[in-house]
Amino acid sequence: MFADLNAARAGSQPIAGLPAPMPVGGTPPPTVAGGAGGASAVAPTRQPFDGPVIPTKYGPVQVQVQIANGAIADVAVIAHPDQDNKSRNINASALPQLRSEVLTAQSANVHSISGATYTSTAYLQSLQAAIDTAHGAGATTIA
Amino acid sequence: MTTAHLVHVEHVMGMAVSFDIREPLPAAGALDDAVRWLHDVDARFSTYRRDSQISRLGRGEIALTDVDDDVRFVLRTCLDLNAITEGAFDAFGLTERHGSTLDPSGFVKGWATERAADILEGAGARNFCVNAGGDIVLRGTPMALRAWRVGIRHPSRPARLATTLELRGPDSVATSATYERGAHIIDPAAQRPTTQVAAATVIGPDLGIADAYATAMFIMGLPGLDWIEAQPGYDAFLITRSRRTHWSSDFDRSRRRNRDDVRT
Repeated sequence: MFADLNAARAGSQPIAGLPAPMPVGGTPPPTVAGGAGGASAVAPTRQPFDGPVIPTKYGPVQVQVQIANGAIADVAVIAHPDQDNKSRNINASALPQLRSEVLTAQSANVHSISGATYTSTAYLQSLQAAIDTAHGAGATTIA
Repeated sequence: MTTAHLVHVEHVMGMAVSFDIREPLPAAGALDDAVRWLHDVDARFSTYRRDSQISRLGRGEIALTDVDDDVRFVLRTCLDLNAITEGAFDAFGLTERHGSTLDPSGFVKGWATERAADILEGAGARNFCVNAGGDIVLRGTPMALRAWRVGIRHPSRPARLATTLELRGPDSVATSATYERGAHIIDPAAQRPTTQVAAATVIGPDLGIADAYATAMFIMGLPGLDWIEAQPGYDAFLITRSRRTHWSSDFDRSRRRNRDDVRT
């Protein structure tokens, strides 16, 4: 378990036992800044970091953050590639919420969030997940 | 300035537990020990596991004399909390009409998280934050001369924070709320979900007690503000259904809060 997480923390290795993470739906995560969303829109200094694999009722899912200049530049929910429509649904509903929560956290610069996030599925959609992933990736502007 | 972070998320007790450990980092293996402790608590206390001591006790398969010291301590504390909260915190289903259910998890999760924090501290960690499903134990500070900044999730607008608190450890923050899923906390006396309070946050030295108090204040409603004044070391922040915010009177004296950023 910890070996997986260390791999995630390093950001350079795919999670052990899983194929390389892919965005749900097969498209790269669009940029927060309103870019075209293709690979060409990603700045060369931007680095993706995968959070820990989270077991949910939809199967294993991860939060991925893009770090640029020590700050979260984008956030995505990524899943095992062979997952079904359910995971696409969770992605579609989780992503806009996660994005706006990250912007809130960036402006509030909080270390942690108090409030009911009891299930693993709820955690996946939570700001806390993005904060944890950003901390693991060494981001400095979220706390 | 680079500071070493040790970040880990563990899924245990049906929730995500996030560790954010700053320097000085604990001795090798301490995080594994803390995580192992949480799984051990889950095995003994979970109401979702048929073979846990709590489940077996609840079904009457074992007696109080059969449970281990931790279980006995937790049950005794839950009884005390029931008395202190004037029945609002009820781990025993004492006021349920149809049989009784034994569920001390409203105290267990916070208690177990405090003990996990003690394990890290015993191994040399001084500055860290453990977030157990939205309830938080803070020790030390995130960096020199800085306080931990804790956001309180807004009960009806998930992308917003209702407020932020600046806290220095040792301290803890517990929030009971309905959020968008609808009422889920049952008033033991009335046997129906409470409606007056949308979110109750309690801050104080022990997360297990803070968690139980937050549950109790959710049920008490606004009268809980008078009740918490009599609980030494514990302060509260309430958001009502009508989006009014209330702070217990000691809040300003004992903690720094950011009054300006309340958004309800």
